Amino acid sequence: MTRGNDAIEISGVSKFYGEVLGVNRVDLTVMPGITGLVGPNGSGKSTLMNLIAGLLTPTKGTISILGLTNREPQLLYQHIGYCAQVDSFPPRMTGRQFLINYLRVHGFDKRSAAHLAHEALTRVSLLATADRRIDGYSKGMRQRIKLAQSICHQPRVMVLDEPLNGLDPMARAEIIDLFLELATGGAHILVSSHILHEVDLISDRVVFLSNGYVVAEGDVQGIQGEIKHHPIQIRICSEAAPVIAARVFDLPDVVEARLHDDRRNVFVRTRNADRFFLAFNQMIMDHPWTIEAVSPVDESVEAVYQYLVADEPVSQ
Amino acid sequence: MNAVTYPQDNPHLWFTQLRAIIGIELGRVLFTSRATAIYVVAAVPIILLTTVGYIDNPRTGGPITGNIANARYAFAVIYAGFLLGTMVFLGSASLFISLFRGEILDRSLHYYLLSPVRREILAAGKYLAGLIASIGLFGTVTLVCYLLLYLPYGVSQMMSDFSSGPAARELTLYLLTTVFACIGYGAVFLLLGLFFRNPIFPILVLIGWELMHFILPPALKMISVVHYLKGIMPPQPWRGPIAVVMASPPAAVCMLALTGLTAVALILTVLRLKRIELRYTDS
Repeated sequence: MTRGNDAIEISGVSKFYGEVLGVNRVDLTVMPGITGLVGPNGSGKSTLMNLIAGLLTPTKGTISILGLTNREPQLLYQHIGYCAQVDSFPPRMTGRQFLINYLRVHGFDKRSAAHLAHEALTRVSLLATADRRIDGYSKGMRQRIKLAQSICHQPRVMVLDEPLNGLDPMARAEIIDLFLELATGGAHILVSSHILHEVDLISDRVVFLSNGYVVAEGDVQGIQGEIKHHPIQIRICSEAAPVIAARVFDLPDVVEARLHDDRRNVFVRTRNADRFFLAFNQMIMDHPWTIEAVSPVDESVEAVYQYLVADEPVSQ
Repeated sequence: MNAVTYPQDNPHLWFTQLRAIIGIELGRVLFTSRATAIYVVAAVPIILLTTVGYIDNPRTGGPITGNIANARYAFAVIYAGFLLGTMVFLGSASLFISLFRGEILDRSLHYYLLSPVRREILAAGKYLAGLIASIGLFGTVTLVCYLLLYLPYGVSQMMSDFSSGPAARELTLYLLTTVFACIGYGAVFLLLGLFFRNPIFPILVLIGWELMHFILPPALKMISVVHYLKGIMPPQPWRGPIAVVMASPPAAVCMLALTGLTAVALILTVLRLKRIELRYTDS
């Protein structure tokens, strides 16, 4: 049961540990889909995730998850799954026992708990080792059993702190598919990762954090569009690359043109991609150049992030 | 999403959750390496009394305690000084403090805190698990130690004392004292486990207070657990010339007082649990 609200609402939230800032004045509304949290160590990602999960209480501000708060844990935590960054488990339990035990704490009878545990183990591809003790699991298996625990009660909100850590490429791909599937089903998935291209790959929107502040939020391209002074890098691949490199400076908003060592690629930085593309198309029509590819190269989360926080000191 | 139907309408939901928590916690307190210290402490009096039972008095060639009345007196000393003052106290401290503190240190408490379970049920589940484990363990040790008194005197003496002598009543009172010690100390230590990062200091203060109980003035005696436990246990041995003698209240009042203390400690535990914060970050 929720309160007819389908969003995670974070209003004016600050968290201080004594005099140390965790996060400050965070306002966010998270709708269903995958939201990536990006920031360096100490930027406030884990603090924000712990606040959303209700493990921390804001010093100021309010957090509402689907209309519920952590004052009603018996209702709220039906809808939240949390995968902590820390790698710790109750001792002497097999993977299956671990899931079943905590599903029983949720209140499920033995049969339902066993069924839900089996389903979650299947989804994270851990069935084969489900009856082995977690103490003997590899790092990747421990990561997957944590994920299974966070999704086994089929929550609508999943808070996943570095969920892809320790996974091999194959497992990463499987888990990313799982996130996409869950998001398609209407879940809110908050993912933090230090592997930025993964966040870029899976997130519908990203939240950039730096020194406890949200410095930007939205979809990556949208954010980039809003950053008027952020030069966008565009790659032009052509046999005529050296000539193009010399001529693109005639176009408006170009701030840099760099010829690659292979002399087939030019990297152009422009302050206005739309105007550049219009003008460059005209230039192509006026010259006998064969253009093989034109593509933005830094519309990644990493590039935007670097731009946003490059000048800010990073607290550890 | 959320195809799962939560058993909210189940009137026994709280009981299912309580049982699950007790099951997890019993496994944790009885079958992990942390339990080793408790088993060692529990084994000491059994080994001691078994050894004493086999030692003969070199002068008389009979039992070292002389007769069963002396043996009972010796047991009263051992019970008050070691079983209650050390085994039950330190055992309960180790067991109940680890229920929350152990999980905070292991970083696994969030699995409970992120479950849709009322904090009252979580506290009750952990407390009851501790209680079952401590009463089961220390109650058994109390029983076995009392029966070991009869090792040098034979089964016939034991049967006679239990059927027509004071043994049945004494044993019942010792067991009741152990049970109420677990109840009272357990609730206090459960609470301390939520408040202190390093619980050694409060344990030392508390054990010092309880051990000094016999020299405390009457007004201060009343705020120690052992004062009320003495009201339940059989008549105690003499405490020496500096002891401040004060009769304990009747057993029923003592049980009520210890139940009251337990209730207060558990309420504080729940209040603390509702406000507890866990900070999981590697930065």
